[in-house]
Amino acid sequence: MKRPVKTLLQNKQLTFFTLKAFIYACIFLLPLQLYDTIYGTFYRNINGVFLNEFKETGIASFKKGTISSVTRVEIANTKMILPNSFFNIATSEFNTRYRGYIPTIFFIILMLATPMKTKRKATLLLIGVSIITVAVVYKQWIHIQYMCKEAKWLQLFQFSESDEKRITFLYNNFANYNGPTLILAVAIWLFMLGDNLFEFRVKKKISL
Amino acid sequence: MSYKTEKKNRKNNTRKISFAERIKQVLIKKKSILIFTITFCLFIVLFYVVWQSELFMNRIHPQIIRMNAFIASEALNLLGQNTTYFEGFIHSQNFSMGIAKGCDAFEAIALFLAATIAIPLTLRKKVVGIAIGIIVLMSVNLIRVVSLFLVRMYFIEAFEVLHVQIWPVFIIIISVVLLLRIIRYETTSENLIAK
Repeated sequence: MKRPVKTLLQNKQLTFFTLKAFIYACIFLLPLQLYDTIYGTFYRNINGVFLNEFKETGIASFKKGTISSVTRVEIANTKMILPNSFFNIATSEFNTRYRGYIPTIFFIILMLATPMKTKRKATLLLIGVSIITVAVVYKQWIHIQYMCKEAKWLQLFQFSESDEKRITFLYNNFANYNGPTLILAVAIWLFMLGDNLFEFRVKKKISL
Repeated sequence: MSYKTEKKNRKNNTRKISFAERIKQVLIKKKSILIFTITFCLFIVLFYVVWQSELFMNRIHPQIIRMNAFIASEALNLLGQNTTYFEGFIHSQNFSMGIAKGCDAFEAIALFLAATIAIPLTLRKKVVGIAIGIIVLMSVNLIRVVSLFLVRMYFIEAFEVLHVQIWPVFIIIISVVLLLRIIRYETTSENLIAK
């Protein structure tokens, strides 16, 4: 006899999902240094790979800030080398936990709480975390452009007035604000639920 | 035919299908979820465009924030906190707390609305679901504001974590669970009709 398939729309599974989501949220959102250390290292490494060099002469480095949840980004123009072989750099600090950890862990919480076969869950987790990491790297890229806009002396970008408005808008409403990324995490999760979400549309045969 | 033989035959048949044909089959199979995702994303983009517009930020948003502050202040006074409100701020003898963008549950409501509209439900169920969802989420947001005020008053060390990390995630989880409940209600209704 086949085991009944667990889907999220069964009453019991829905209740378990709710409880598990809240419990995982309480566990993974605790202000533990361990989470900040692990994710911060991952954040700095992944952004270092994609954003280390940009615009021919621009360089960016990502370093650990004063506390474990903070990252400092330093950008410079290699064309503007000083006589003592140093660079003038523009720096900015931001909270890595807020920018990248929370949206990533939110998606993980949703997936872990969803009743699904382990193999499928692991595959979808990997894909979903990759997509969210791409979004987080894009947020960092917007941040770098914003720093270049503020520090025009770097001469890395030539922004028009409309470009500056766009960068400021994206920085204030996407890079420096978590709402859209959390909604993206939900959208990816709903897409991955796929047929589970629409099972009620399967028409049942009515016996007369 | 045994299950293994059947699986082998299915694999062999799949290899004969071209890549384009396979993509087409996947798209047809996933048609419902693709339409849902595209509709959901479009509504979310529309929400952000409206939410960030000058008309909304300068005219409508302050009124909603003021109403939130008023209701939260009254709720806190019921708990003996002796607060007043002005514009989007709640004042007590010791400090003031403002209700800013992000603390107004708009995004959670927008997510819930966009998903409910995108799901293929009957119009009646959508309208009822949306009404219930908005009431529930506004109530949860009120609890959020009141709890943040009390934590700020009595346990300030936990305020930042609660404000920036825990509550935004909780309120979106509640929004998602509400959506699933509405779909569950649709499933139950269809099953009753089928019986």
